[in-house]
Amino acid sequence: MSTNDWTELTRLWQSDVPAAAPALEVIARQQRRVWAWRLTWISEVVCTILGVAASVWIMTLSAPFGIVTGAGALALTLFAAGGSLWARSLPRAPAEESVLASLDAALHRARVSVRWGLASFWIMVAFLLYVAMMSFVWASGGANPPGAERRMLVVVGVWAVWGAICQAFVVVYYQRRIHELGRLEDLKRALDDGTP
Amino acid sequence: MVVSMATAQRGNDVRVARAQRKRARLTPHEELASLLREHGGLIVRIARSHESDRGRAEELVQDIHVAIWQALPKFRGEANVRTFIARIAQNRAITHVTREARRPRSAPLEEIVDVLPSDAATPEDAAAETQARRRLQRAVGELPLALRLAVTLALEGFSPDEVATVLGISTSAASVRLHRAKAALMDKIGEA
Repeated sequence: MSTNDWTELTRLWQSDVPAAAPALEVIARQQRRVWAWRLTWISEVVCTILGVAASVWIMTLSAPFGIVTGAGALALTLFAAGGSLWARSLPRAPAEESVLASLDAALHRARVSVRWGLASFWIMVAFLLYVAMMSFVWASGGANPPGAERRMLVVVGVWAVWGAICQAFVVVYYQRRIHELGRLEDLKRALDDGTP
Repeated sequence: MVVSMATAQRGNDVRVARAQRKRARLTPHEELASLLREHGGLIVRIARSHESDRGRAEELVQDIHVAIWQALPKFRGEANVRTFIARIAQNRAITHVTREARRPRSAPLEEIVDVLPSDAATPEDAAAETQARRRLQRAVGELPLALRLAVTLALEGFSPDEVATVLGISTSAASVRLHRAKAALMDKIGEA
């Protein structure tokens, strides 16, 4: 390849001068999204406070297994709050970082996300087992007041449905993160040695 | 030699200071618009080299604009503004490539290449130039990502040093990458 060839290619490449108006609308939307993020953050804090308060209230009730139910609810609330904090604390490389540095940061985030997905999966399994165990204990206890069994079945059913929905999201999330991690690792390999 | 280097450095300092003064007088929107007026073509060309689908290429361009907008407050003019913009554009393009890898393609690149007014002498020359540009853009788009990143920067006129800065690799690695990328590009153009 001669210098002239390359000069001609450069000229040809740069002769394409497409104009694109500044994405001011998208930027405005982005600014609004900052407010949405803040609202989400506030709602998570409020939910955590309500969750802790409800858990403590359940523990103070004189209902059978109130302590166990309340402690389980408290553990799940704290786990969710911790997960939210952890997810938000993931490092994000600034856009003006070098390509390799920002790819490294993206890889780190993807690996943490995969671990987070895996942990969430097993926590949800534990939660569903906990609900199942509680229902068996209640069913075999025989110490419940009249009519309580039906109410408890409803409670157990709601918890189980909720757990199953969460689990479905966790599985989808985990699969996506695994694929993303695979693609990023391929990219990293390609950038490291310059081959496809 | 030392004197000429010192003079060049002073000249650079003066340019940076002038750019900072100019930027200080602009509102953020004006500043973005001014940067895009000057470097908008670079952004669109980089976006199109990574995305052949018309709609998605436009989305990527908007994404890059937003990223520049977000990064602007941290930019103090100590780095070359083209390098700053190219880094952001390439980073966004990589994120885009990772995210979009599993989505099907629709419109081919040929449909999005603008037919530009040309300074060619005849309409035939202008058509030939457009054809050659399409071939070049297609060849760049078909290169593996690592080579594509390097070759788009080289085609934009970046030096090996600047390519190294944008990609975050050593200058010698950038030179080797550029050599391979240019050879691969010429092969692709030859195949077409």
